[in-house]
Amino acid sequence: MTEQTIEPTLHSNQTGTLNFEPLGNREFLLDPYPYFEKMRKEAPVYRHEGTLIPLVSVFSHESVKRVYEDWENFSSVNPHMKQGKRVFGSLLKMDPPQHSRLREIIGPMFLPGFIRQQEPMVRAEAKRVISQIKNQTHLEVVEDLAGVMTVGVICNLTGIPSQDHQLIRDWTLDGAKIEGNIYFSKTYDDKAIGKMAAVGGRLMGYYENHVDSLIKQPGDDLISKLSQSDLTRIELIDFTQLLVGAGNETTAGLITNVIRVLLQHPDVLEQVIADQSILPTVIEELVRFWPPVRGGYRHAVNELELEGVKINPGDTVWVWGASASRDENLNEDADKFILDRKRRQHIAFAKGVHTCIGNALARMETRCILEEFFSSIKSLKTSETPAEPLSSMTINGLASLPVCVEWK
Amino acid sequence: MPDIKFKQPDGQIIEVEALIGDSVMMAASKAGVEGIEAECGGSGMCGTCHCYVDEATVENLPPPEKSESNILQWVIEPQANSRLSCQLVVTDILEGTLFEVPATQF
Repeated sequence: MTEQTIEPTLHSNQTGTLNFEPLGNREFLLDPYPYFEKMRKEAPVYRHEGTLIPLVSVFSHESVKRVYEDWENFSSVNPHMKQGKRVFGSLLKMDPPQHSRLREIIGPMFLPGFIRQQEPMVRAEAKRVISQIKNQTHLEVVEDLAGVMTVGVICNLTGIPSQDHQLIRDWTLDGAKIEGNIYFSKTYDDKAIGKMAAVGGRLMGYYENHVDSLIKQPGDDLISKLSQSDLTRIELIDFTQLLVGAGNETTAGLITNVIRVLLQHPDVLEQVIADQSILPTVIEELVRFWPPVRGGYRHAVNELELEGVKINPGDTVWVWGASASRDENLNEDADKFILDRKRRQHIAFAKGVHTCIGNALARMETRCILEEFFSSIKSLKTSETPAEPLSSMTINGLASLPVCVEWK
Repeated sequence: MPDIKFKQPDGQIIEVEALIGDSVMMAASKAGVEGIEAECGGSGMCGTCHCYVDEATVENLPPPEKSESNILQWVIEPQANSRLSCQLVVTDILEGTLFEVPATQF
C-alpha cells in the first residue's frame, strides 16, 4: 500500500458550495483524513442539506470535546423514539442518572486492573488464531486475523459457545456496515431499514436465549457474573448485545489499522518485527492517528451555537472523533505518525460519561494478537489485491486488507 | 497557586503551579505531565488518572467517595495511597505534595 495524496471532492462544481457527502463515498471510506482536514479548515461545524433527519457534523477538537462532554445539551437518548418503548443499545443510548446506575454496576469489569486478569484467556485466543493461519502466505487481515481474534475474545467473555462464533461475527459485521448510516440518508430506503430490523431481530432472539441459559446455569463469564447483580433480565440482554456488537468490529478495526499504517511506515514495521516490546507505544500512537471509530452521534436538546453554527433541538450531531485527534490545536504535526510523540492527545474513545467502556480491553487484545503475529513472521508486504472500504460511518476500518506474509 | 510535584516512573520530578479549584488531573494535563492519561476527561469513570499521593498529605485529604473507591480497586497496582487525580481538588492543603505517576495506566 502506498500513501497517496487525495484531493477530496467537497465542492459542488455548479455552485462552489461546500458539499460533504461521506455516505457511499469510496474515497472517503478508504481514507477519511483528507476530508477531515478540509472540513476542519473550511467548516469545523457543518449542517448537512437534504438529510431525512436534520444533521450537523462536527470536526474540530473544540466542538467534538464539547459535544462529548456536555451530555445535558447533547443527549444519547434518541428523541425520535417513542417514550416508554424499549430502547436497544443499553448504556450507549442513555443519559444519567439511568446511565450512571448501569455504568456503576458494569463499569468495574472493564477497568484496567480487571481487564488485566483476562490476559491469559486473550493470549490463548491469540495463539489459537496464529496457529490456524501460520504458513498461509496470503492473508486477509480483517477476516483471518482481526475478526477471528475479536469475535473469539468477546464470545469467551460473554460465554457464547465456539460453534456460534462465526454466526456472531457475520451478524455483527452486518450491523457495523449499516450502523449510523441512516442519519446520512437523503431518501427513505425501505430495504436498508428492513435489513437493519432483520439484523436486530436475529441478534436479539439469540441473546435472549443465551442470557436465559446463563441465568439458569451460570458459567465463569462476565454475563454470568452480571446476572448475580442488580441488572434486570432485559438490561442484561441489552448489555450483552451492546458488548458483543461494540467489542467486535471496533477492536478488529484497531488491529487492522495497526497493520495498515505499519505497511505505510516500513521502518517502524521492521522495528516491530524485530522487537515487539515497542507495540504498546505503536498502539497508543495508532489510537490517535487512525482510531477504530470514525465518529458517533448525539441528539441536541437545546438551541445553542457551535463555532457560529446554530444547533436546533432535535438535530442529530455527528461527532467525528477521528478528525479531532488530528486537529493541529490538539497535537503538533497531527497528520504524522510519530512514535516518540510528546504529550500525545486523542479523542479515540470519546470523552465524558460515555467514554468507551472497552478501551483497556481493546488495547490489551490488540497488543496480544500483534505480539503473537509479529513474533511469528519474517516479513509483511502489501498484496497486489487492493484493500476494500467498509461502508460504515462509525467504524474506521476496512472490509478487507490482503497482505503477503513470510513466516519464521 | 499551590506548588505540587509529579514524580515520573524514571524518577524525574515535574513541579507544577496549580490553580486552586482545578483538579489535580487538570493541573497535570495543563502542564503536560505524561502518564496521567485521563481517558474519560475527568468523569471519574476510567481509572487512568490514577496516582499515588505522598504519605504526609494522603491522610489530610477528604476520603474517596464510594464511586472513586470502587474504581480504585481496579486500577493497575493499587496501593493504600492510591487516588484518582480527577477527583482531587487543588487547595492550599496540597502545597508541596508529591504525586507519583504509576508505570502504566493500562
